[in-house]
Amino acid sequence: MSELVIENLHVSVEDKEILKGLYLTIRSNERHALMGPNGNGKSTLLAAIMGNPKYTITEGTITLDGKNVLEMEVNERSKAGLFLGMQYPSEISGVTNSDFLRSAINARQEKPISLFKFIKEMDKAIARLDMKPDLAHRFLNDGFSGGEKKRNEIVQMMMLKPSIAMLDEIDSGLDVDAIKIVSDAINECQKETGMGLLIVSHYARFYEYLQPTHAHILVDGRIVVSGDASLVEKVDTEGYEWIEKEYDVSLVKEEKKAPISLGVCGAKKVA
Amino acid sequence: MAQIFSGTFQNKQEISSTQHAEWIISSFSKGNIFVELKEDCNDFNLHMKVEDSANVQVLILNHATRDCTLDVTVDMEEFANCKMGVLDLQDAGLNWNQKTNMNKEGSHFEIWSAQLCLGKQMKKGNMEVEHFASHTEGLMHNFAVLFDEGKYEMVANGNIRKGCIEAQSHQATRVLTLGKKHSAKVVPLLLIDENNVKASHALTIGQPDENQLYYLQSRGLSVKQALGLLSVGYFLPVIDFVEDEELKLSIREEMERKVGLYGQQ
Repeated sequence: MSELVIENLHVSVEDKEILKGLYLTIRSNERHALMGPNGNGKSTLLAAIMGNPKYTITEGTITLDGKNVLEMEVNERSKAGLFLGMQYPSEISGVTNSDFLRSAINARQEKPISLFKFIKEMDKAIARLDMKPDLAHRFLNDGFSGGEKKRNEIVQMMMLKPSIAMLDEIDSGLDVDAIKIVSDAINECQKETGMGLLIVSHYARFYEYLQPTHAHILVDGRIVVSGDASLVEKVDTEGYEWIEKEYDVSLVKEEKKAPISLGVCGAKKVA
Repeated sequence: MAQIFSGTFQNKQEISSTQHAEWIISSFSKGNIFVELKEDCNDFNLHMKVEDSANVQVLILNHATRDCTLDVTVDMEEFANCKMGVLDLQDAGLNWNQKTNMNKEGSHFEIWSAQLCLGKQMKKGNMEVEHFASHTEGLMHNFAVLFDEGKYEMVANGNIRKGCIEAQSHQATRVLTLGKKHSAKVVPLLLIDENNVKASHALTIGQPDENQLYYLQSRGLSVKQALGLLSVGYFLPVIDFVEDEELKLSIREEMERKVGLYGQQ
């Protein structure tokens, strides 16, 4: 039984406070849907738990099975059982998927995984996600479509078998059929491993497939409402504005970046 | 006296102390030569002539444990084809001079090098592919990975003489700098005295992307293992020259160990 406990978490990025005292507990076999308007701190929470160096924890605690996560390096958090399926996975040319995953598996166990067992498990995960069989030999996310990158994150999750998995908009970039395939794979993986799930998504359809046991709405750096799957339905039909009225909070509007001038074009003006 | 390679061949050469070699790859012959510079090698001087329509692949693997000099001259004849690799994973200096003469029409030459630069050892390369005939093609791909205090210098020169119409000279150098106090100097040159040619050069020197590093760490790899994995891709194109699967696996393991993929260097 694993338990991730977050208490009074404050997180800043470049001196701007994004999370302002967040509490959340996730246990094995639970499925937590985390919703909220863009720019209110959902991805920040996941990145801070994983240890992304761009995010600074200014206050609060995160523990996994009683161990202080904040004292761990990023790789140690992974080896302790945390997994983050990223919204924008890195592309790494020159490193094949199989080399990467084999190294990642070997990093968390004393005896290296046998090649036979590795190939068998990888083939199973690739087939489960309905991906092309050559995935293992392709460079990590290099030249992948948006959907392929997201499916590849789930392949990694299935291979690494975390105790708590966080999925950051893993459904974006997936078509309708792919969302079903990915959801089924996540469900199956949780059934096999008993992992706890923290899922960020904007789409009710994805949550329909995943059937969350808990749902939370994050506004301006705090979880303001928690409930069950019916909360997902309410957000889907009514949006977020009712939260401002009922809970006396202000939604943070995502900053729209103004277009940047690249200067004067070098082409000659034709009179 | 020159050693002649003819027909279809697979050959292995072990080079010790100081050696000079003359090789002739006979017309229309085809094969592979694997050259190992043994631990005590300090100077290897090779002259290779690739005759008309011959096709040869050569891999030079440096296992010298002290500073070593490698001088290679290649003469390419009509429609000759040569692909050459140099793999250097040693914690020892290497002074490498490579000259290729594209003497006759239609010849094709490729050089692929991958060097690991550890400690204060200097890896110095000076190569030139000089085109004396039309419709010749010369490609240079040089890769290097530098750890703490590694030193790398590479001058790569594509030289196309006047009248060599539709000759092609392309080169790419990629240097990955890891650790501290390293130095890398790369000089890509294109000397072209003919208008109707194709030529290009590409050069990257830099540290790994911090997002890539974070991504690898988020899957459980330590910084050292992540850096090792990122550098693997720089060596694989040259290791792929090895045809013998068992030898390839052993060289690959040696490379992975030396770049720190198993946690130690």
